[in-house]
Amino acid sequence: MKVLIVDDSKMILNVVSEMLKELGHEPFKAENGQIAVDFIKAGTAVELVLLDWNMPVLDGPGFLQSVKDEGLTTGPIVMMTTESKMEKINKAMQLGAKEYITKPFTKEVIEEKIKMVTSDEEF
Amino acid sequence: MAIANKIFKFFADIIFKETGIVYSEGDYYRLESRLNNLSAELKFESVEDMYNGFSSKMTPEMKSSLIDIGTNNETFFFRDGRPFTALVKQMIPEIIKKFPNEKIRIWSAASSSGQEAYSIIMALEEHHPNLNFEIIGTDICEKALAKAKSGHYTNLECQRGLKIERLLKYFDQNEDGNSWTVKNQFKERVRFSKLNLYEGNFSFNYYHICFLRNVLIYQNVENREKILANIYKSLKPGGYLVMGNGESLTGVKNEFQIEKLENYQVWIKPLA
Repeated sequence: MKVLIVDDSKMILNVVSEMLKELGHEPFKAENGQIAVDFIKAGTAVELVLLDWNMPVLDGPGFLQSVKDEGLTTGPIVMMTTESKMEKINKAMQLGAKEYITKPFTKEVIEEKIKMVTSDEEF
Repeated sequence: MAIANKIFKFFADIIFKETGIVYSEGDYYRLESRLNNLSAELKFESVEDMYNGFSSKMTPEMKSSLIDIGTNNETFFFRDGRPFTALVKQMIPEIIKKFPNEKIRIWSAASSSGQEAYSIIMALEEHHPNLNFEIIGTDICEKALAKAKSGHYTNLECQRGLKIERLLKYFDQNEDGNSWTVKNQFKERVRFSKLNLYEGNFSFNYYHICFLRNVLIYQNVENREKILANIYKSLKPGGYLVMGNGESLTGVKNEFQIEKLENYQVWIKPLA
């Protein structure tokens, strides 16, 4: 699956990218929301997005808003952030995120959350 | 410093005696870091120093701390989802048919830190919201039981297996922002208590369903048979035993019958 990781930390981009490869996915990296918007508009058929909250230029909520406003096709969007307060989780979900991962996380968490948003299994 | 085999054996023997869990020589590495951590926690200078202390005088607290490190408490919410689907779609409707008007008792027999019991509550809440039921969680490890009773889990623990909608519906976020506690209205559906599955006191014909997943694999055949006999006694005729995916009772004496549900194999105590 083509997965776009959006995070301003090179370390996170690299670590998550490796995790995704190990899980059999094809990762792409964007260092902020605007780069991610441009990347999607350029035509790569992204199937899932892992999205940080705090980033320069365009942050996570800004990206979610752009996806909505511009009708971009991204596949399910999963937040992946240190922002763990319930208000933030609710806000991201209202803006269209489908799942939420808080840092720190493990490869298993990424694997399970991807499964949750891509399969129709209830449990 | 490397731990001598006779020291590993000393601790492994106590763990076996108390829990039935087998650590043979090839498994000693699994105990190494846990013994190191325990010796630091109990302020011994080394594992050898702890061995000297334990072998001269073993207090109940020492024994309990060894049970804690000997039991495998790895668990997470909705682990291997299929048993939960089988529970809500097939077992519960069958149990309602067989035992109309009865309060349904579900036993999470090695409940560890409680994720299985709480997962059952969530699954029932979503599929059988008016069901009259109670969950009983038992475990031998006191630390795990205390955690289960508290219903308190870190962000990382909640992320293992819990969909975000379920986290928001069934848990309250704690003030630290990094942990969650099961809401009281759901916590009160379960009772947790200490029980040794191969030598405790067991109720007769009491439970309708027993979850015993990934427990027998750590036991020798003799203890598997003892545990199965105890579970058999505690289940009502017609009640279900749910084990882990791929677990089998081949070569283990028992009176259960295999029942193949749509997506999962379980065992049943035959009707008298």
